[in-house]
Amino acid sequence: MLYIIGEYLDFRNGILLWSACNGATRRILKLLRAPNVADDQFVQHRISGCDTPAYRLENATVRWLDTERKETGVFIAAAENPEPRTVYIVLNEDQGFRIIPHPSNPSPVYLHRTSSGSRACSAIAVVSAPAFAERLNYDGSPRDYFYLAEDAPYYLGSRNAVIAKAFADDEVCRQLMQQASWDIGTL
Amino acid sequence: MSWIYSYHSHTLRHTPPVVIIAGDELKLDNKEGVIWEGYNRKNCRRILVYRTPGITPDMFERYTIEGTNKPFYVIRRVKPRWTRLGDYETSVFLVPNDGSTHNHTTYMWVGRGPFTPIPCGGHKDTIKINDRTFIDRKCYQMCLATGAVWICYDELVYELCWDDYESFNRAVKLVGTRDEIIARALTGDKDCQKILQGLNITLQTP
Repeated sequence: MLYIIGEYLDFRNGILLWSACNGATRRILKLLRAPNVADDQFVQHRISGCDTPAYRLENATVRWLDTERKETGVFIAAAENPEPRTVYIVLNEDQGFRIIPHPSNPSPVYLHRTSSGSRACSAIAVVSAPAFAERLNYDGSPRDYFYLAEDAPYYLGSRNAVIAKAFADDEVCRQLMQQASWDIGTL
Repeated sequence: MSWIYSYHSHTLRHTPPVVIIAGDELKLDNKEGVIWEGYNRKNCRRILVYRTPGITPDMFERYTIEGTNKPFYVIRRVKPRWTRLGDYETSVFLVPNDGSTHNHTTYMWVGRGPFTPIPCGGHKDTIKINDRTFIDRKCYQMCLATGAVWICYDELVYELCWDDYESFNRAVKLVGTRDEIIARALTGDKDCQKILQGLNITLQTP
């Protein structure tokens, strides 16, 4: 299973689905598809609690080309035997994100590239599930969290919402709190 | 031609007569007959393309590669001769066809480099010359080849077609952008896979 999460895709440009570049000399990030991946293979997936777009693709695989010429292209190709693991392509054209490993998947990041300009930091990542994604604010502080699970992506909310749910025995939030090593004061 | 032989002390070699020069504008009115020159500064290779006195400017038919503003010129009843002077100079001379038997179209791709010529396969020794002059970020390059050859320059891939093109204006064509080539290769397109191989592009997988 392949999920694309974070930004809306534009299906009008043929093979180019998304691109971001924050300055002429900055890295250009692209998400592309092979011509045999049709529009209707991208099934929109609604994430409860937020309006962040996500798409699900079956029978698809991902390849990427990361060049020294400041260009990163991630390609979606049709595959009869895709990888058994769920793979996420995470996109952001605001202030970027960090990937936090899940306890059961210590090295989830296959690729993570950014294009930093004066006011924005776009990013693209290829990540294996399960993992957590931490979207960032302009000053680099955390904005909110997603759980990139094997079955689907989930919105966890802000840091405080995650902490509150962790104290209410939410297993996923507890794992995130533990993995992120947040300093929680206690008596 | 004797002065050429004595100056370069090299043997001039022979190739087929129909010549197509693509990639850059030619200076057909140059008085010394240099229709294209790639040169950066002293101690750098100088690359020259000459038209010899028998080849007149009206013999150059100008076309544009479809989908681009890149020109190419078709010159009939000519053949190229070339010589390389060590690391200093590469010269190609367009000379009138002397009526000898020639079978295939010869291409020259000239212009800003670096570009990568990739033989389309099936034919050995298709690339006769592939020289560039490189200083800082400025590069000129010339490739002399018989078809079919792909020229990969910047983000685009062009094809110098095999002899079976329908008409001269289809002899040089745009294959696509590098991204399009990669996308088509992922669908199993053998030509595009061969181009990626020629460019040493290996896609990474999860």
